[in-house]
Amino acid sequence: MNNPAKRFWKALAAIYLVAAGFAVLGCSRNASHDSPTNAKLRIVSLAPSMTEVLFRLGAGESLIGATDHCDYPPEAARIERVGAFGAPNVEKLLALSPDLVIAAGLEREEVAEVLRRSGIRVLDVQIRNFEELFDAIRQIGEAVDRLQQAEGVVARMRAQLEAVKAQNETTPRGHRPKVFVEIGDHPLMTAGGTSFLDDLIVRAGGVNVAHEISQAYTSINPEKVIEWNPDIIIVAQMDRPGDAAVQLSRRIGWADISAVRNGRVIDDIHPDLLFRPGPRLIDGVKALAARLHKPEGKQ
Amino acid sequence: MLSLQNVSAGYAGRFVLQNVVVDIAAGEFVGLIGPNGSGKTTLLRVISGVLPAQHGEVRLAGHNLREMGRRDVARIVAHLLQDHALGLAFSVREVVLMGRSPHLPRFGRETERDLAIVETAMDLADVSHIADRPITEISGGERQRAFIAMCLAQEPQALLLDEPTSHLDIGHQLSVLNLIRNLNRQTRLTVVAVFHDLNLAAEYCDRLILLDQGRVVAAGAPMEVLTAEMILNVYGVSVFVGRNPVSDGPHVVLVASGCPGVERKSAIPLHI
Amino acid sequence: MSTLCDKKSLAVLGVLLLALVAACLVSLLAGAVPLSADDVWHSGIFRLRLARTALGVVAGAGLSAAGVIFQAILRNPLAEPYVLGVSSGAGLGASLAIVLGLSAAGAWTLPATAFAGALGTILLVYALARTPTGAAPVQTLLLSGVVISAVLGSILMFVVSISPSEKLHGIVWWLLGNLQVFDWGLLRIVSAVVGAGLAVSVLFARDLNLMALGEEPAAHLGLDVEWTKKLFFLLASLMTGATVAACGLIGFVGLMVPHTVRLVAGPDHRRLVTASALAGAAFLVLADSIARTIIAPREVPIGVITAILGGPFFLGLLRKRKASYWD
Repeated sequence: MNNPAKRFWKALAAIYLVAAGFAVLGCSRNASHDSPTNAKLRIVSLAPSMTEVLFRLGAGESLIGATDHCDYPPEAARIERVGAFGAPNVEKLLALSPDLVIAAGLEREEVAEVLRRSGIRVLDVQIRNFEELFDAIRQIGEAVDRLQQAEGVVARMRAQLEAVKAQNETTPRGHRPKVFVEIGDHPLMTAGGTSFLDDLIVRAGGVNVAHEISQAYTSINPEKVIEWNPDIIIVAQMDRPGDAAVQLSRRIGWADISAVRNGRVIDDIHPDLLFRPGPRLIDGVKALAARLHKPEGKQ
Repeated sequence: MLSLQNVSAGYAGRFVLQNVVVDIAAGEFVGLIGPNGSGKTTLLRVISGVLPAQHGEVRLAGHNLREMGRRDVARIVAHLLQDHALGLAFSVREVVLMGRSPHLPRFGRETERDLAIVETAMDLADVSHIADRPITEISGGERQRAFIAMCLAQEPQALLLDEPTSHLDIGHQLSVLNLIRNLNRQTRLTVVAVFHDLNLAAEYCDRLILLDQGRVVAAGAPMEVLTAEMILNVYGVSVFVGRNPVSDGPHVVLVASGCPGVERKSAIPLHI
Repeated sequence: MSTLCDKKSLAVLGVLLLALVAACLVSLLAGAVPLSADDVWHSGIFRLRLARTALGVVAGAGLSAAGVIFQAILRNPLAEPYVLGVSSGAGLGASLAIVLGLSAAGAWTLPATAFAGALGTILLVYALARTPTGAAPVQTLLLSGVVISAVLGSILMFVVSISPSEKLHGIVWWLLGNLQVFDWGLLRIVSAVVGAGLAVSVLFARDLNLMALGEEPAAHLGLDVEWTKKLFFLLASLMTGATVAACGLIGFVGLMVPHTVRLVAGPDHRRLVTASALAGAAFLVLADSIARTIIAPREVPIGVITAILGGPFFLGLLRKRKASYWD
């Protein structure tokens, strides 16, 4: 099976290079419309969440590279692409010769190594909860010389968290709704205790049923969900048409789950508010908190 | 009993047999001889119907082969291949029982009668003593006899054999051929067998059919067909044809000298 | 001389049936969640386990029977349900469905594309192997299968390589096989297909014995070889396709179960098909119990378990018997 596979890999490499060529052509035309106001940092973001942070800090102008998934804010569309999230094109990165590369959980250590050896500063942050998110925002603020703005953003986010917390205090801890987050259905996947989703749920006033699992993201046996009997189920995928609650009730054994029975299945919060560990995570907390406090769900 | 009228047959557009006319009466023991590629195996396959004739007509026991179903053919003709490469360890009895397939109803089971026929067949082929042994664990000669038993279990009117003794030692060769001749004599089983060994063919067959390049070159008693001239024409070798002192039939003696019939293409000597 | 009703058959089938029942019991009681005897009947978990066990029985039986058929028709001890490229074709169908987001069209899109991929592959392999006379000799089929498998496999690899990371997990999960079942409808269809396939295979099992002699000897014994081959390929492909559609690629079962059962039950296919189906069902149900419990509440894909369990087991069995059943 080697020869056909090799041909395809070569074809793939060729396709990427050609695509990169077009991207360079395309973006350089766009770039000519933007005149930088001052000699500044050249930054590449390897995560959509980090792109959002940079824009929130007012450093969006400094971005010269972003991933295919960097789609917010809309201004990010003009930025040159360096590959998919999780699979950056190293050649492209080097070709852009940035001063700073920001990643959020770069899986491939060798990419960071190559960049550092070329004299590029790599800032790789890990965001497992809100505190780490705030740290990351501050770190980035420092790196792009916008520490003041960063502190401001963090302070505002904290304030909003406190507001939600105050509202939550009215509900005794024992009665906090149990929440199950369904990230995927083939296989059934959820977020465990070390994921930022776990923290998000707590801050929104709920309890993550999968908290006991130490993995951040894991496949889960559907039986377990029945046992946990969550009050709320958040469904990540938005590409399923129709009422999520009805669909879940059709699953064998799931009809008796509290969340399904009461129709408290949430599939209309924008996934980027919940699954992107960036500034909009706060909006996710607020949206979820609002839903958690509604006594009955949609019918 | 078996007849081919102007039959031409072949593979992938190439005719191996051309305009062949063969008539075999019931109870005859006929030998097919001829050089490699002359069409002997093809002829057997045309008779048993696995290779359809492109021209001409084949008749089995009075019926046109083209109008017969495979099961009908299998009830009349049994075909023993040169070599059975059977990887699965069926017992000898189970293999012989498979010979009853043409007679079994579509989804039926074997009856007592079928089992009795199997016992008889194994007895005739002298494999009863190894009836329960896996067919993969017996000797070549025993395996050949087991498959003969399978053919006998078909209760055929004619038995087609494709070089039945080529993998056997002389002891087994004679025992297999003796068995077949006995069956031929006692039950009037028609036998058509392909032979490479001309002397064995001469010994056992009533009639010989000599094929060359897809045509019947000679047909008749062994004495008539096995002449030095005929063999030189067809096989391209000089032989001496004498008389078998025991059976009084022809005996072909191979002469191991230079090959007068073969032209030497080059005069370059080989230094070995 | 052996049929489904003689003493040895009854003994073997009886033992296997008991094994299957025992395996099912284990499967129903074991799992990520402990189940006491009381809440067994009422709980949704029980229903889920029942469905899962049922799927395991059906898939195990289907794959094993298909393995027996392919080994008999292709006369090759290495033959198994995926030998003619079915795994690559079905995998390609499934991964395309996942990458293109076709599962938005409905919960049955993924099984449907996998099934289409499986069946399409078999038809392609058969068409490629046909001679002008309409026959498809066994050796040509095998070669054709290898070629098609390689080509489709490379396209599959390409799809995997360009798929976004969030879809990758789904594709890999499918490729490794799983018995997660969410709705009864799919289970019903798969059961019907496998059940029908098994019934017809058992009915015509005697012909498989003849095929084992070789194509030409079988023809000499009165078998319509081409028709028989077509029938059995269709049966085996339907059973494999249905299994693959519901469970992804569960390897190894279709290869090892027939060999193992043959060592015990003998090569007569009238007994072998049924026995393999029972043994395969028990094996898969047991394997699934393990897959669901060793790292509970997470699941190990069942293809991993079948591979780990089966290989050494068969090796041990082989060493105990001096001669294998394949020469």
